[in-house]
Amino acid sequence: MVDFRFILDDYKPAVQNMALDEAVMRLAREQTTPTIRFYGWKPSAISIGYFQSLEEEVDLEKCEDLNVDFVRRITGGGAVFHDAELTYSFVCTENSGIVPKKIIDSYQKICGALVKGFGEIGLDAKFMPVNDIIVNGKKISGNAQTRRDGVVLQHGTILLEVDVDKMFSLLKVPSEKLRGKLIEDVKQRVTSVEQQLNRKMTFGRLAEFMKKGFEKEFSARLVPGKFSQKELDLAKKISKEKFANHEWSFKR
Amino acid sequence: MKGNSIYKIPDGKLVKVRLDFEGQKIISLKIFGDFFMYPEEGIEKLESALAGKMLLEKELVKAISDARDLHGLEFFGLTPIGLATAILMAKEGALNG
Repeated sequence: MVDFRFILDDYKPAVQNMALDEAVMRLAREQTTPTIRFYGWKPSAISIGYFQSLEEEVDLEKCEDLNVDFVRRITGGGAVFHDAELTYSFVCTENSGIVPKKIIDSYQKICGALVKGFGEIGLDAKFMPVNDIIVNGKKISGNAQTRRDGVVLQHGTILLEVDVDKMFSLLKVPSEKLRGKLIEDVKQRVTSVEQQLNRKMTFGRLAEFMKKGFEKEFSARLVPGKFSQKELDLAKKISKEKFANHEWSFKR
Repeated sequence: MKGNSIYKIPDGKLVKVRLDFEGQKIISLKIFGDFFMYPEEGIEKLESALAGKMLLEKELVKAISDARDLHGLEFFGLTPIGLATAILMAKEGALNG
């Protein structure tokens, strides 16, 4: 049995969320245990992958109209509309041996915790390489990992509810002619916890189930913890200098 | 000339290319998409490595693989052939208006 630091965080603005994940990652060597953080987004936000073009993916005017934040992640992957969901981040050092060295295997291991968490709710979930988790053939969770200086950060989202129409109102599409078809495709391919359960589910309840999933997958005890003052200070700095900065947002 | 492309790599991710070229030669290009690459900063090295290369499939695949190996990059959802295809599509797009 190993101990993990468990931070049950609340809803925060996009730049703060991304800055906290990065701060925990950068200071991971100063922690004796891996860190798991659960959090949400307020206001709702779009995050884009490291390699995406902000202007090409996101309708920035629409974001402003609807009070939706936007942020570029330090991880690859696609654009995500963070609305009714539980987001997690997982940080450990590579040489802790907690996750496999091979990136693809480590995705599977960390996603395995979510798969077990879904199992706790009674949903039969499967890991779909590279970075998705599916239930009944539909995507219910997207995940993204990066590694820096011997530290692994993986964060991902678990959809409580999904509003594909609202999501697409905030995203740009390659061709307006195809917008309707794209929306239909995504509705066919994406689902949510509430859709699959056919009942309401709260952030707090889902967090309990997912906590169990992590405990089972890693044979770990999730010990409630807090950010260190150093992490909070660094997050504030990263938030200002990077995620809230146009140079980063419009980097690609 | 300038051309753009959007290409879904079979069993992979979506890649978008913005290409600036002259004749058969790449002047510069930018690669976007929802793929994964480690380390992430490698994308700029890959883009620079392709400047000056000929717009021929074999040459592009080789240049992409060489840059990947030289800089120790790992791709997920992105392949040398898939990226070469996207680059050639950007060229075709420009030529066919």
